[in-house]
Amino acid sequence: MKAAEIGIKVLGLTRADKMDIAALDEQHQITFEESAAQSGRFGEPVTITVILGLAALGVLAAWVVKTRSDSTTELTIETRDGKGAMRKVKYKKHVTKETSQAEVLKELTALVHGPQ
Amino acid sequence: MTAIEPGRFCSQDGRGWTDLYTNLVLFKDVDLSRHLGGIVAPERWRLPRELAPGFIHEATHHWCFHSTVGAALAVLQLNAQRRATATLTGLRAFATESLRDAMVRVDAAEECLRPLAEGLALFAEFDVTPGASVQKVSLPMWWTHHFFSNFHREHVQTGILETLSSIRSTAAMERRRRGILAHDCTGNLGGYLPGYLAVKQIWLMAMGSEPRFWNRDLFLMFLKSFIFADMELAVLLLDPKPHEDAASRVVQHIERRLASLWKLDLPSAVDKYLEALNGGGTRTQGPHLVIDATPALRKQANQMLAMAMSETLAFPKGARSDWETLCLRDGLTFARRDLMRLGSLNAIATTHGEKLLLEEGGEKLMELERRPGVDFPEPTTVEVDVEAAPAFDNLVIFVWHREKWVGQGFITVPGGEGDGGETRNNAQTELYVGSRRDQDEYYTRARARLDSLVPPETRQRARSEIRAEFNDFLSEVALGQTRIPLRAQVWKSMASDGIAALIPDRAKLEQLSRIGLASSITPSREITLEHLATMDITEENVRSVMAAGMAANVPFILLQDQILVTLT
Repeated sequence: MKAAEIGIKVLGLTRADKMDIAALDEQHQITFEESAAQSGRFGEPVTITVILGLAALGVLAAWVVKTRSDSTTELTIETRDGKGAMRKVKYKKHVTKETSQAEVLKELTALVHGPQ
Repeated sequence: MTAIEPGRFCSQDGRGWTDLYTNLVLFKDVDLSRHLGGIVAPERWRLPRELAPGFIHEATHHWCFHSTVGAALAVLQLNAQRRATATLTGLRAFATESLRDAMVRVDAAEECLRPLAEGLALFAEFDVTPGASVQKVSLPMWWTHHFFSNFHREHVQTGILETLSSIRSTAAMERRRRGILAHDCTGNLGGYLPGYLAVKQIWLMAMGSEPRFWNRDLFLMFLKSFIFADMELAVLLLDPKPHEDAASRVVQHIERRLASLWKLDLPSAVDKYLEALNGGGTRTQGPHLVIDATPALRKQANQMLAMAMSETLAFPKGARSDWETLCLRDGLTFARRDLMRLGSLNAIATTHGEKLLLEEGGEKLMELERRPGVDFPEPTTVEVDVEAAPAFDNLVIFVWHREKWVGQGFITVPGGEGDGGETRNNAQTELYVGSRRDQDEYYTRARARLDSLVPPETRQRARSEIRAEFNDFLSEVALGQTRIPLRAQVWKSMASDGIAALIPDRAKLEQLSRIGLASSITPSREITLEHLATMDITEENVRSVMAAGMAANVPFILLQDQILVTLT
């Protein structure tokens, strides 16, 4: 899988997450998608999908470290390679004060690249 | 143990949901492969607390929809779907116009009830606490105590208070509430914030004339009954006569009904409500909890409901025609509306005498009653549906091998006031024609058939107009503390980012979110400020957030000598 061709989506985030990520995304590399509620279906608020490329993965890592201190975070990540092949993976991390952005970035990068 | 791999019967976008018509629930984070033990093991009754916010939200929807208005909408929707199916498959012929007429009413009611239902569910998540002044608690709160409390079953109020206090102090809950405060105010994404702000303003108004509403759980029960046990709305929906202006009649009625709250003699209405609530029967369910309706109106609504349901009420045994099977399916969907589905899973089943043993990987899960006379190969993989019957204090477990119902279990929850389901008409379960998955798949097919005859695209414009009109109405309620000439401009500025648009400082928005959660536990200024101090939020911070609200012409916080409450 060529790094430049990987498209990444993070699913199931909230408006608060969107605001926090947007505040860290100084170069405006990330876009957000929000779907309308389904007819007949009530429930928790519609969620936000965060769309980014590999270059913006650092923003995601910074967000995880800054906003999830002393808690376990679980992200559902969907990747699509240049040929359109899709994978869905989970990233679960207990973030502490010692967790560094570089550590999270390394793990996220490995995860989106998949088994080599 | 394997959690059932989701097909359509799942959370498509990472969120839980409750279907208004079937009252089918999906708790997105309940994974029976991990949580079944906590649900069914005697004296454990525990689920992880991080599941509580989603549980409260969906349990509140389920409770609201299991009501006269919910039933009226369900029967309209199911009748229309069944008739569309019969028409398209040649079983019977029904005029498309009659189906369209039903959907006009359903669509109008759904557009208006959606923000109100979401507002009630968010109020339950973020604001509701029970009070000692009322003996009974709402069903969502009782089940929250049941599944999440550290306290013994009998200490209901204390257990709920401790549970809510704990979950509302978490960073995850703060983010959840902040996400709502940053939601849109157009109504196009579900009307969460308009509904939530409206419910909070109604609470504030109600508290002004009836101090017993400091007990926010009492207010939740009262408002739920006011909206979802509205007999006049049920009559409007079920009126067999076609009306060209059916949609506007529904919308105008709901607006008038809400506005009438401001004129209602609340102390007297609460007296009557409490008398009914404490007068026997299950906690907060039942026809006695109707507000502001004459006996004649109640009778009319119930008769119209019975008439609309009549073709699905007969459960013929033995050979059935295809049409009767369709009727039976909808009758059972209707009969299951009182059950709150907790989840489903696959397991390996074997017979041991009169019992059915369920296990996975050699580990015993549970033993249930095996239905006699039903053959299936053993051992085999079965599908297990785990449900709660909230009004009856019991859990119901159904086991299916393909289309055959092969086992069941009933677990009575100790400490409740129900009768363990004895009064529930379990006889009808003899006719169950499929698991929840089957039911959902059938419902989806039938819905698609109705959509092919009365396409949603052709209804979209009317729905959008109703949504916009009702959102305008809600804006007047939601901005009740804003001066009238400023409301339209303020609402417009909140269109895409809600309260967040009024507080550009993200730290202040986070503080407002936390202040709201902290002040939900007690209105005491002193205790709330002490609690906030543990989160590094000072009184000066509170005053600063208040000032931001005043500057935006939307008071966020009420801070008096002894009281601290948030208005948003």
